[in-house]
Amino acid sequence: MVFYLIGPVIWQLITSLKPNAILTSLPPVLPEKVVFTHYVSVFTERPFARIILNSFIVATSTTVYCLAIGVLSAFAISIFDIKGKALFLGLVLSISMFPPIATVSPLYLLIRALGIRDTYLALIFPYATFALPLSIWVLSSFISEIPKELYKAARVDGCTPLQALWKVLFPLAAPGVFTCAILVFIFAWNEFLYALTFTTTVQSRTIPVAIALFPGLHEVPWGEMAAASIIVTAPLVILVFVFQKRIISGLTAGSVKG
Amino acid sequence: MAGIQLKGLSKRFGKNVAIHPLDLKIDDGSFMAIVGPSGCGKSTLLNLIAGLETPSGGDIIFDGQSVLNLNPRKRDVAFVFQTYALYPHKTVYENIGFPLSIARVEKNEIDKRILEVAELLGLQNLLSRMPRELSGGQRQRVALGRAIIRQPKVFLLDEPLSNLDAKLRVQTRAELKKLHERLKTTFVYVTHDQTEAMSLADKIAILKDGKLHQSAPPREIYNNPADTFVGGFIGSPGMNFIKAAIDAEGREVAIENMLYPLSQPLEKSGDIIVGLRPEHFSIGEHANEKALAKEAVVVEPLGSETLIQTEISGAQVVIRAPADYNCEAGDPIQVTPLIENANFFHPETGVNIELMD
Repeated sequence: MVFYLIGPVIWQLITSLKPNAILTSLPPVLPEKVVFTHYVSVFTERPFARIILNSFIVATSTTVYCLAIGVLSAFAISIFDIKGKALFLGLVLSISMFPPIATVSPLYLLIRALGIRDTYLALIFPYATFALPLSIWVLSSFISEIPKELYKAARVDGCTPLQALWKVLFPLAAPGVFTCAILVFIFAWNEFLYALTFTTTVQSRTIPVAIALFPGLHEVPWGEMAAASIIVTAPLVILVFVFQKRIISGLTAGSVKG
Repeated sequence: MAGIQLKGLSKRFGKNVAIHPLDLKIDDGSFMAIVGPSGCGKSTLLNLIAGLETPSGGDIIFDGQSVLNLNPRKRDVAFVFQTYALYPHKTVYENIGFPLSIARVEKNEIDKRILEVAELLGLQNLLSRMPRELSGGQRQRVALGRAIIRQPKVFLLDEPLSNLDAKLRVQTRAELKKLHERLKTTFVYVTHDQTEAMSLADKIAILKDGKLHQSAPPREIYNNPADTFVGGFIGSPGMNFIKAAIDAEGREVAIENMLYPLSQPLEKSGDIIVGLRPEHFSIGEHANEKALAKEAVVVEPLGSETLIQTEISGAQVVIRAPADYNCEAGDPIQVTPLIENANFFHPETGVNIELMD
């Protein structure tokens, strides 16, 4: 099972380390000579550093934006008695059910009209539209698991609603917030369709699009593509491992009854 | 410190009426217990006083000032929850000090007051612990500490003892009473346990289905319940209710085929319900002219007393007999109702006839 899941990644890793001559040989065994030329050329012959930066800025901004709005809405949904709460949550979920391809044309027109084509904003806003429902669902389920008495206690102890959120509920919902952050970040980091449509230049192009545009007219630079993929997957994997620890420690810390 | 007055206070959740309009006066510095079976609206009432819920109608007055427009932080009340609601991510020290740090009290002052409260409650050695490392009784004391440190006008306690085991509950009950005598602050205490209410409070309000049935000092409630619900709810076991009839002049009451003269005539004739506490019977083996010949159905020797269950005019009746009373199920007994102690209730409404206007 593990091999089934990790096999393609290993293949890619091997490909990225092979010299061009034996790239397409099967089976993909590790060559006698490991070369790092692909890793170097990705940065020297292409503006890959800039593209990583683009992706990083877009993914981080989307995450921060989604969490800020998501935490506040989840807080309101789970703490206050709002009429039509279920309907609201249903509507929110239905938004994320639209296939992206169905929304890409109208969004394109909208973005062109706003004059934000080929900027970070052109990606952050659509991403947030799709990631917010998910965030709200994940966060509200975490916050509603916190006993309501804790919120009440904080209010009686002199907190304003926002203080109660920040000082009591937020630390307790931290595992949920991290989970949500990771999901949103990965979504924004990997998204392809919008990124392809709404960006035109290196100004704002993100990693998946850039890698897809690697192939030239006459050749497909498999080695470089593999190297680039490894470079951009690594931070995600590290991120997940780092946060995983926090998630687990957060979960046990919050599991106090009452 | 503050006296509290509730005027026509009511609360609806959608179509459900949680609390029917009620008036209640809680004196400054008193210990008021609000009792009732679960779902009677007593916790809602407490939330309304704290400002955690908004009333549907009526007014809440602290010391002559309406607090309706004040949010919980401005009302200066402290709340102790049934689940204690300690902040799980904060130490005992931080939990107790939290209300002060929110109020931006100076650090040295907070330190000083935390130590005072910790000493009062015997928490000195636990200050650096997390709530999950505490036993139920310790958590309960931390929750109390967090309430005390504010020196609030009013303490609101929502079943603070119900998560403790029986022995600890009795002990903590006594400590609470001592605490109230020390602080002399108004306490409003919600419980479903009538023993707790009787032993702690100097006034008890009895709620059922969102309606206030009676509010009076414990002894008065015990001796003169406002209706059959209160009589049955307060006391362990509760009051016995026996169907009876009163003659046209209201001078004699007939239970089964025996007539009992009343010292004070009632303004009622015909059917009536006689309410008698378990101790308001005399019991013996020998017949006398006022005794009903019965059979003991269940005998429960409790050590300090013996409870004997029998049946009078179709109703189950529990009688409190001395501990050394020798009797077994099936034995014949002679039961005499001590009618001078009886309360009389309306057969349909269940309201106490003597307390009716």
